[in-house]
Amino acid sequence: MTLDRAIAPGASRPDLLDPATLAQLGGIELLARKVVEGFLMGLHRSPHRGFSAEFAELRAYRAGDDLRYIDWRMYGRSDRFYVKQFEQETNLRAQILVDVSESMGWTSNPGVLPPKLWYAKLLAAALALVLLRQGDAVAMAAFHDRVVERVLARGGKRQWNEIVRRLRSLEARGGTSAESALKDVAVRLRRRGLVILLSDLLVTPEATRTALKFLRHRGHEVLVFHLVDPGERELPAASEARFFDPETQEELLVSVADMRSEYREAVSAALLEWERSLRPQCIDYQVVDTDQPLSTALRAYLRKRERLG
Amino acid sequence: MGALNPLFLLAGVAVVVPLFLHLFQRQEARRVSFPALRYLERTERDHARRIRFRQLLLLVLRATAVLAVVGAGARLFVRGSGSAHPPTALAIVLDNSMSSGLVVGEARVLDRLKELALSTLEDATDQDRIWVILAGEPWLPSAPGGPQEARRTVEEARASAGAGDIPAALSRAAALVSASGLQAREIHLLSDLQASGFAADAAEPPGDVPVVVWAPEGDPAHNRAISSLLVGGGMTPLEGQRYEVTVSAAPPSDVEDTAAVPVRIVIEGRVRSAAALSPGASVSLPLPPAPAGWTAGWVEADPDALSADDRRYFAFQARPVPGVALDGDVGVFFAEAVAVLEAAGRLRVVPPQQAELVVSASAGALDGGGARDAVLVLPPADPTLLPALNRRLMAAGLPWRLERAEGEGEVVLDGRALPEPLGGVRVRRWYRLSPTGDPSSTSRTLALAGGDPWAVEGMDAIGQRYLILASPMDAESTSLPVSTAMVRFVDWAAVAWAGAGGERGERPAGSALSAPRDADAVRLPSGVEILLDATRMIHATSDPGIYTFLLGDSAVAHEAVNADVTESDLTPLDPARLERALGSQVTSVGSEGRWRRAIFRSRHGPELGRALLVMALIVLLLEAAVASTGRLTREARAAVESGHGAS
Repeated sequence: MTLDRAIAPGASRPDLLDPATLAQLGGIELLARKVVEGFLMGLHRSPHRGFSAEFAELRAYRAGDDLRYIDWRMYGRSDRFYVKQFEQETNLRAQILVDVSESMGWTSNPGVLPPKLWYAKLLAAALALVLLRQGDAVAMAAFHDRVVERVLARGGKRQWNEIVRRLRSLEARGGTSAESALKDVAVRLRRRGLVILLSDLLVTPEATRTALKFLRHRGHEVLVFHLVDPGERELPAASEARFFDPETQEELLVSVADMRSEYREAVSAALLEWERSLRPQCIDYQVVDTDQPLSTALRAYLRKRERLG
Repeated sequence: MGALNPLFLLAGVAVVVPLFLHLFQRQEARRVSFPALRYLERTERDHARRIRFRQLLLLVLRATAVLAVVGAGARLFVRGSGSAHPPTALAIVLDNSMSSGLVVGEARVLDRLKELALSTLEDATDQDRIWVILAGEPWLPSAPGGPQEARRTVEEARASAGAGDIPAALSRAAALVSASGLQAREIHLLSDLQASGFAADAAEPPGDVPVVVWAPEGDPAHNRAISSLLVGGGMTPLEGQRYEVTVSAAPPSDVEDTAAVPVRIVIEGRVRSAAALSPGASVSLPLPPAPAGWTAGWVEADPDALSADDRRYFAFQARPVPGVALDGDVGVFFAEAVAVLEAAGRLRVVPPQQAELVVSASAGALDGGGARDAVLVLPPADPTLLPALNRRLMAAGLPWRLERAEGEGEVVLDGRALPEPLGGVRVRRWYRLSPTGDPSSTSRTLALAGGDPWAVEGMDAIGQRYLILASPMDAESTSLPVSTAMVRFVDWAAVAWAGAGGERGERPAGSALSAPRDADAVRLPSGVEILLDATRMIHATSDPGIYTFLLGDSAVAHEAVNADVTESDLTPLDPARLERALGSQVTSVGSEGRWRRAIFRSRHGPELGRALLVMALIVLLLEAAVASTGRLTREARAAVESGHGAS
C-alpha cells in the first residue's frame, strides 16, 4: 500500500490513521507532511483557525466559526454573517526534545505496532512542520543519558528538512536522563519559547519534574507528550515471567496473575501522578498511546499554541 | 471419621502437586523484555502482602480441591454417636466349606471367620434381624433371629466337607434381607475367598444391598490332597477275587513340591496296603481277595494344613460271580462282551433258571414265567418287531412301551443317575420309551438321549428288576457296542446293577443320598442313627465318611461320602471376578480392626463422597474466581494482543 493510495479521495486522513497502518505507508518525512496537511485540512472545518494574525479576507460564516471573528460591519451592510480571515504571524521559538533511550525502541507487538521512538520521530516531524508553517523557529534535540543530537533553532523549509534528516538517523540506545537534557536546553534557550518533550518518562520522576519546573521558572512554555505503549498498561498473558529492563538489565520474577490488576492500577496512578504534579506548574501533560492516531497529540499542541497567542 | 476405601487415601500425596507448582514452577518462567519494570517493582512493593495472600489462598484452594476429591474416592464417612445403628436386616454368610478347615498359623480359617462373625454380633442389637447362612451347608435352613440365636449358630458352625457356593449363598442372603421390610440392610461375607467357591458366575450379585467382605491379604497356602480313588479299576470286586485300589493325588500347588508321601489303605481299622504317592501322580495298591458282603475303608495320607482332603472313603459289596443268561439273539457285540467277562471270571453263563441276570432280546425272557433276579431288555433292530415287544412288556406288567422315534441324530447320553460305563456313549438311533402308566413310584430313568429316556430301571409286581434300553446293540444305533465301555457296561449290569440292586458309589459331601428300598434308618459317620423319612433322602452329608443304611440292626448298604475335591484347590479368587460376583456395593476389609468400623454402615451416617465432590467443585469455582482476578480482560487482551517483547 502506498501513502497516495491510502489517502486517496474518500480514504482516511493520515493524521487519523492508526500508527500500525501508518507505519506501513512510507518514510517519516512524507508521512509527517501528509499527516500535517490532513490535520490542517481538518482544522478548516473547525473553530481553531484565525488566531492573532493580520486581516487577510472575509468569507461566509459557517457553523462552528468563532463568533469573535464575525465582521459586524459587513453584517450591518449586507445582513449576512462574514468571518474575518487573518494571516498568521508569530515569532515563537520552539524546542522539540526527543527521548531516544533504549526503552523508546521497545514495542509490545513487534512487526505490528511501531516502537515508541518511531512514533516520537513522526510526531516531532509533524510538530516541526506545523510550527515552521506558522513561521516559528524550531530547534530539535535528542537525548538519552545525554544530548546526542541537536539542531539549532531556525525557520524556513530547509530547517524542516534538516530536522527530518536528523530524526531519521536516531536510534534507541542507552539509559534515560531527561533532567540533564532539560537543563541543557534551559541553559541554551535565551529567549522564552515553547519546549516540547517527547518521552516515555521511564525516568527518575522527581529530578525530571524539577528540571521541567526549572524550564517554567525560566519563562518557557512546556508541553510534555508521555508516550505509552499499550503493552505497558497491561501485563502480558503469562502466568509466570521473568521481566527485565532493557536499559538496566534489572530482572524481576513476577507471577503475572497475582498482580495484573494491581499493576494496571499502578500504571494509572503513575500517569495521574505525572499529571497532578505538572498541571499546577502550568506544564501541559498529554498521554499519547502509541496505538492511537497522531491527531490526538497534534490537537494537544494546538490547544497549547492557542493559549500562547 | 472413617474411610471405606482407605487405600485411596494414598492418592492424597497428589496434594504435593499444587505445592510443587507453587514453590518450583516460578524458577522456570520465561524471560520477557519490559521497560516499564519500575511500575512492576512499585506494584510488588505496594501490594506484597496482598499478592502473597492471594498466592497462599490459591494454594490452599487447590490443595483443598485435591484433598476433597481424594476424600470422596476414599469414601469417607462421619461416624455417628456411639455404636447405635437403626434396625438392620443382616445376613452373615459364613463360608464353612471344606477349605475353611485350613490351619493357618495356630488357628483354623473357620475359627477366625467365626471370631469376626461374633464381633459383628457384639455390635448388633435386639432390633436387628439376623440370618446366618452357612455356605458349606446350603441345605440347612436359616431362620431370622436376634444376636443370641445368631451367636449360637455361629458357635456351632464347623467345617463341612462340602464345597461352598458363595454366589448362591449371597443371592439367598440378598433375597432374605430384601424381604425383611427393614430400611437398613447389609450382608457380611466371611470367607476365605477361594476361587472354586465362586464357580457359579451366572448367579445374580446381591444388587443394591451393601456387602462387607472379609478379604485378608496373604499368600495362598500349599495343599496336598487325595483327589480320587477307584476300586477294582471301575468294576466292583467279586467275592474271593483279588482287587486293587487306584489312588490319585491332586496336582501340586507348588511346582517345587514333588516329594512323595506315604498313603495307606485302612479296612476295618487295619492297614491293608501302603505305597508312596507323589503330587499329581496315581498309584494302585493291591488288596487281598474280597470277602463276601460289604467292605468299607479309606485311603489316607499324612495330614497337612488342610486335613479334610487327606482321606477318602470307599465302600463296595463283593458278591459271588453272577450267573448271566442270554435269551434270544442279543447280537454279536453283547455276546462277545459276555464271553470276555466270562473268560476273566467276572461272570458265568448259565441257563436262565439259574441266572441272576437274563439279557433278553425283545423281552422274550419275560414270557417264560417264573421269578428271575433281573432282566435286561434289548430292543430289536427291526422296528416291525416293536409291537410284539410292547405286548410282552405289557403282559409282564412293566409300565413302559417302545415307539419309533420321530427324529434322529447323534447325541451323548446324560442323566443324573447315569451309570459310569455309559458316560460319553453316543447314540444315533433310539426308540422312544414311553410310560404306559405311572412309572414314577416303581422305576427311574438312568440315561437320557436328547431328553428322551434311553435306559430305565424298575421293579415289577413280583419283585423282578428290569432294565430296558432304547437302542439296539448295533454299531448303527449307538457307539456303546463298539467301544470299551461295552464290557464295563455288561459287567456293571451283571455285578453292580443286578447283584446289588443299584450301584452305591462314591458321593461328594453335601450331595443328597438316596436310601436303598429295604433300609429304614441311616447311621452317620459320627455314629448317630436317624430314621429315614418319607422322602428317603439324606441331605445332611456334610461329614465325610461311611454312611450305613440299616434295616433294624442289620446293615443293608454302605455309601462313601468324601470331601469335595474342588475345595482342595486353594487358589484365591481374582479381584475382578469378586467384583463381578458381588456387585458394586462392596467394601473389602483386610484387617480385623477395620472390620468393626466397616460393618453396620447405616451408623456411619451418610458417606461424605457426594458432599466432598460438591465441595471440590465449589472450591474449584472459587479458585477459578480468585485466579481470574489476574487474567486478562477482553479489552486488555485486545490491547496486549499476542507476543510481548520476547526476551
